[in-house]
Amino acid sequence: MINSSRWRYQVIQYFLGAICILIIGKIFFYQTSPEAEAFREGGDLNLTTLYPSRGEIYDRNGNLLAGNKTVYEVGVDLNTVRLDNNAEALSLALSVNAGLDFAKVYSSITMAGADQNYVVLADNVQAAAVDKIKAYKLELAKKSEASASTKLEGLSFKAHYQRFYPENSLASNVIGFVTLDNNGYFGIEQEYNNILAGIPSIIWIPVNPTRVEEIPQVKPGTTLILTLDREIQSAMETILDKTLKESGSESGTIIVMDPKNGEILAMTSTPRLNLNDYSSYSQVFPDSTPYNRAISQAYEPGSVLKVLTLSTALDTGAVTPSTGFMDTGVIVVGGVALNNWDRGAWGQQDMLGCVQHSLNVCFAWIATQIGADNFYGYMKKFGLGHTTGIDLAGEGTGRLKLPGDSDWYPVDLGTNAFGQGLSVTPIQMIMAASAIANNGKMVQPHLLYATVEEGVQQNRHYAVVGNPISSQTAQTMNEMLATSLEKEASLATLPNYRVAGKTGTAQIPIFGRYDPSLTNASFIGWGPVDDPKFMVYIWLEKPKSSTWSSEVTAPVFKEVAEKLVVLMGIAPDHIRHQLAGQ
Amino acid sequence: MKTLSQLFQNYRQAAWRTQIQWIGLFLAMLVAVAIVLGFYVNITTRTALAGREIAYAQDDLITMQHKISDLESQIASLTSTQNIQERAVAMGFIPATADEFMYVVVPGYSPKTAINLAPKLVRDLKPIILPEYTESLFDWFANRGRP
Repeated sequence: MINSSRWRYQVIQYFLGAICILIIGKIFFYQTSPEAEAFREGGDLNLTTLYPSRGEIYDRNGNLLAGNKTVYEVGVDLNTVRLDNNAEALSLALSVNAGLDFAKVYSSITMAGADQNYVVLADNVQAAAVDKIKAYKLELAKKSEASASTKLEGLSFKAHYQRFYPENSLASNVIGFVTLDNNGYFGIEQEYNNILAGIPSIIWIPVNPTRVEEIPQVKPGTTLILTLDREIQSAMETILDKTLKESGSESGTIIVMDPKNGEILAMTSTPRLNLNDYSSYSQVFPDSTPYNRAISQAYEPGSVLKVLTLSTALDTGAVTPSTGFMDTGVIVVGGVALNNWDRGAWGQQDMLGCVQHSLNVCFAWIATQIGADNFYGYMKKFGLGHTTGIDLAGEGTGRLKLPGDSDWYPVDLGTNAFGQGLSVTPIQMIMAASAIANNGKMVQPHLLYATVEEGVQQNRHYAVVGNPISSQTAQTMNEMLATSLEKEASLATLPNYRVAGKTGTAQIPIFGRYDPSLTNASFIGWGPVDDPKFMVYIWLEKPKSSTWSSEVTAPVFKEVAEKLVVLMGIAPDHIRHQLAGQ
Repeated sequence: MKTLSQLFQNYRQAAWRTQIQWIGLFLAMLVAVAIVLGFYVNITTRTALAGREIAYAQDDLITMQHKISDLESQIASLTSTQNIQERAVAMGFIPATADEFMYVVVPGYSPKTAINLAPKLVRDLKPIILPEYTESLFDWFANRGRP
């Protein structure tokens, strides 16, 4: 029986042995296959850089001003392409659907080194183009009769973020822009680049699925909420553009600020850039044109500076509102004769008359009464000559010459008093004047309202950066500036709302002499006078329709104020007084 | 001595029976090893599948974050100032002039005074993979003892 069954055992033995050899052979085959070799070469871990999404920027009402959108890096797996021989099909598909250069794509694929596994064909490809390519690839894949060389196997799309500005050019002077390398330039994007950009994380990701590890979530960049109001910003840009067209001015600036806390509600200047097309920057801003004139271009402001001179005079007690002055049309300061804007003599005036008629001679006299030390001490307290510290990149300092400086002359005391011989930026002027509108407290202009990080919103607190004048002086100035507008029947006044303000017309020096046909027209104003909610600074450079600020900027202030009272929901004075009395 | 030898011989298994026993033992060991290997392969496969699922879920998470950003941008684009103004004009609205406005006091109405921006969703930065899936039995016992 044993002998008769032996052959059976031997058959089983050989059979099992053969199976064992087959299994070992198969294992050997798997271990030595090209795929296994490639897997080993790739290593157990992939080094990957995770980029956080850039923080978004909102206006004060939650409208998105700067966000992110998905774009793609289009690449190709060269091993697949070598196998399928479909370089031509890939190049053609990318050329037709994504507008890429056929020859460039084809050479990128075919000229790649033999040891290269992957090549990037294009980056920052828009989602719409990628969708078209994917749909085309799918369509080809469904065609069973198509050969591998006509299909698009091997294409890969890696998504990443790109900055997107839904409002295009709105508030572009304030926001700035981000280039493809995720660096912010100008404005908020540059000033807060560090917190907006977030911190990329470099990690090793195991290839072996059994060794899966959690990919750490990269903390996105900090979201910013600005003090800007999109509606007010849009209205100001519309008004400025219309004004430039009507007045023929070379450029313009409008700033709207809350004088009680320094929040910038709108800030615009020209030119403006479509932020989604920042590559046109050099065409829009040729010859070192300032990106944001409101903060970076200093100029001689002219008579708007008289509000600071008169505030100083009242605060030091050099004059009172009723102090009289006999205007003879000329005053000699530092050996130089100074005249009024119309070269006329206005006779006996009080301080209200001096400010109402904007008499240079009177203000030069006021400066002499104040004295150089006091005058320049106050100008420094008002923040002239140094930056305001506004949270925007590229702020200018202006120039305030001081006694003792090599280029300061005694006559400068007289000319500085009416805003010539010194230079300021619009933002410096509005900060300085905030002390008058805000009971003597000067507030720092700023654009950041709050930051949002990991779901927590932190509001920024405003800063009082000085008390250059007393509350009493501020109230007196408010009253004088409001009355002077009313008495002058200024084009800046508006019905139902009492506003205060001052025009400024400054001739522009050309080759060392002032050219009467070229002026900077400025206006600073605020309202309602008894409870200021807005402060406006307007600057038009070289207006052609009229050189006088009272004719070109005063009506603009009225238009701006009329918009603001509606957009900010400010009740007319009589209604406010009624409500306050209840 | 002879008796003892005879006794052993009487109780000695037949050669073929011993062979069968060895084969049986070998097969039993083979089955045991196969079972262990089966378990190992099963668990490894499930681990790999779970790993792949986690990787896919992480990819989905990133894809969704991209989609959210895209949708936010699209909504912002559709509701941009320029678009809204164009739509308003197309619907027949015209900008009101200053003398067409009237300020009306509405009792009980409180105008917006603070920024009404809802905070973004708190991103849960806690680990997605629970420690039960990564810690060893020793770690598990050790952690149980901690408060």
